[in-house]
Amino acid sequence: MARQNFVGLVVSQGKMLKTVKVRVETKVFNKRINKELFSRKDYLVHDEEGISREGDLVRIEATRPLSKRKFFSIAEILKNKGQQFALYESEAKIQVSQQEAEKTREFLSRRKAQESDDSVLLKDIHTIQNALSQGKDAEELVEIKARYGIEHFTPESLRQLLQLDILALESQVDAQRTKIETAQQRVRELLDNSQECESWLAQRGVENPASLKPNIKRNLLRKHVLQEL
Amino acid sequence: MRLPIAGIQGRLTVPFLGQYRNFSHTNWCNGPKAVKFLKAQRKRQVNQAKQLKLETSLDTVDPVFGRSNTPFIVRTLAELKEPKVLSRGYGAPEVESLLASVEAARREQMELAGFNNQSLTSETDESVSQNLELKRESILRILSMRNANNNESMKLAVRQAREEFQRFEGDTGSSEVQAAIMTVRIHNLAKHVQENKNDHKNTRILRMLVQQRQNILRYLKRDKPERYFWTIQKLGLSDNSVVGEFNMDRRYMQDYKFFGDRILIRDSKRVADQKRRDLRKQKRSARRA
Repeated sequence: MARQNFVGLVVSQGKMLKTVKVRVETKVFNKRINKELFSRKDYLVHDEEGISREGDLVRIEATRPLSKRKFFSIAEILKNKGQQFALYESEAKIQVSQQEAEKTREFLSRRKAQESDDSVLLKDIHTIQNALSQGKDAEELVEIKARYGIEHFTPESLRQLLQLDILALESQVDAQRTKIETAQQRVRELLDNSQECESWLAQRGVENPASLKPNIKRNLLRKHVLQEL
Repeated sequence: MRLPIAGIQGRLTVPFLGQYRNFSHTNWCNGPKAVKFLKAQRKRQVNQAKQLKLETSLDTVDPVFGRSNTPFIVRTLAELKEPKVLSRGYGAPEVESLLASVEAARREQMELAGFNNQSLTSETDESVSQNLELKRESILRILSMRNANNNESMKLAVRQAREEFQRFEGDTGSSEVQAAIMTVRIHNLAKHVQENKNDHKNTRILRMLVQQRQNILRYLKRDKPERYFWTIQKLGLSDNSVVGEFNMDRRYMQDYKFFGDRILIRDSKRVADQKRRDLRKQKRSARRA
């Protein structure tokens, strides 16, 4: 006679040596309600190598009785989901502890740096301006030059150091705004003309653009337009 | 006539009682069956105590706060108390730059107006620098995160959480980021609720937040298991506290000492007795071992 054979889920592992609990679901026909119902049974199953983990799908096979409640052993592991999860968990522990240690070190060093630098910029600017107005190089200037990586100080470089250039910032913002506006306009144009839009999308490797929902189509259009700008 | 008493005494010696089984004095646990039963009972008691101990110490990770001293949380909260962290998105270098540029502009104007550098100084270099230092100090204090309201500090904390958990630059919606932001909010709100125990409205919001975080983490487990385990490890949660059923009720609050040692649910007499018995069993088994 062939051996008894079930497929089940490992529901408990690590509590007994070389033994796991496997839950087997079978269908049982209920005569009274004329319907098949699920019934569950938990078996204690022998696991010689102890490799299965909670959440694995396994095939179990009958053996000679190994103890009072144990007469099955694991034949094969069909899905090793539980093992993967256990692996991820152990990996995550190491990874996170390393990352956190590094982050904490960064935080502490930042704190130290903030404590040490006390309005360096203010003093530097002061000495530079003094030097510029008097037309000679002070001894401290050498150190300051090294700090900012500038070879020769002029009023222009001073301005750069202080970032007084508000006009440039403004122009940057304007440029960004115009970019967004042109993108929006282009998308609108394409949306109005459905034929052109579909061919345009097809060129960019979108499959069957006609069947897309309008919101998805709009998003795709925006994405490609922004990429091309 | 005298009876030969001596002779009778010689023949009728009083028997030594210890040699006979006296039914009233037999030790009841000497029988083989009883010994077997007692052994089994002892084994059972030890096992029960062991199981109880396992059950109570298996997973004690708080489903709301997570593990205590989670580095991510500690660091985020410490960042808010740093002296030079400023609210409203300003940085300390910006303040410095502003002051320096104002000072520089003032000097330039002076020069343009034709003041000689030496003649300009009614105030010495030292007093100028002192004055500037004072200005800087006051601006830093006004803008300091320590003096900011809760809204501002939460904004900073949320930004930090987002930057640590994002999958790519500018990622604001991935499950990890959502869970991290919820965690920051949960910590903030839970602290508030602990201080204001009658704020039922916010308690409800906190409860919903915790469950929403559970939901999104469960989704992440289905979607990207590797990332899920990384996230819960970083947030200080355990798999059990995410997957298991949880409601932030009075039972939870009492068990995890949410409001300190306040008793929120009084045990019925039966339950209290059972608990006492379990405790006694544990103690006894510990003594034996």
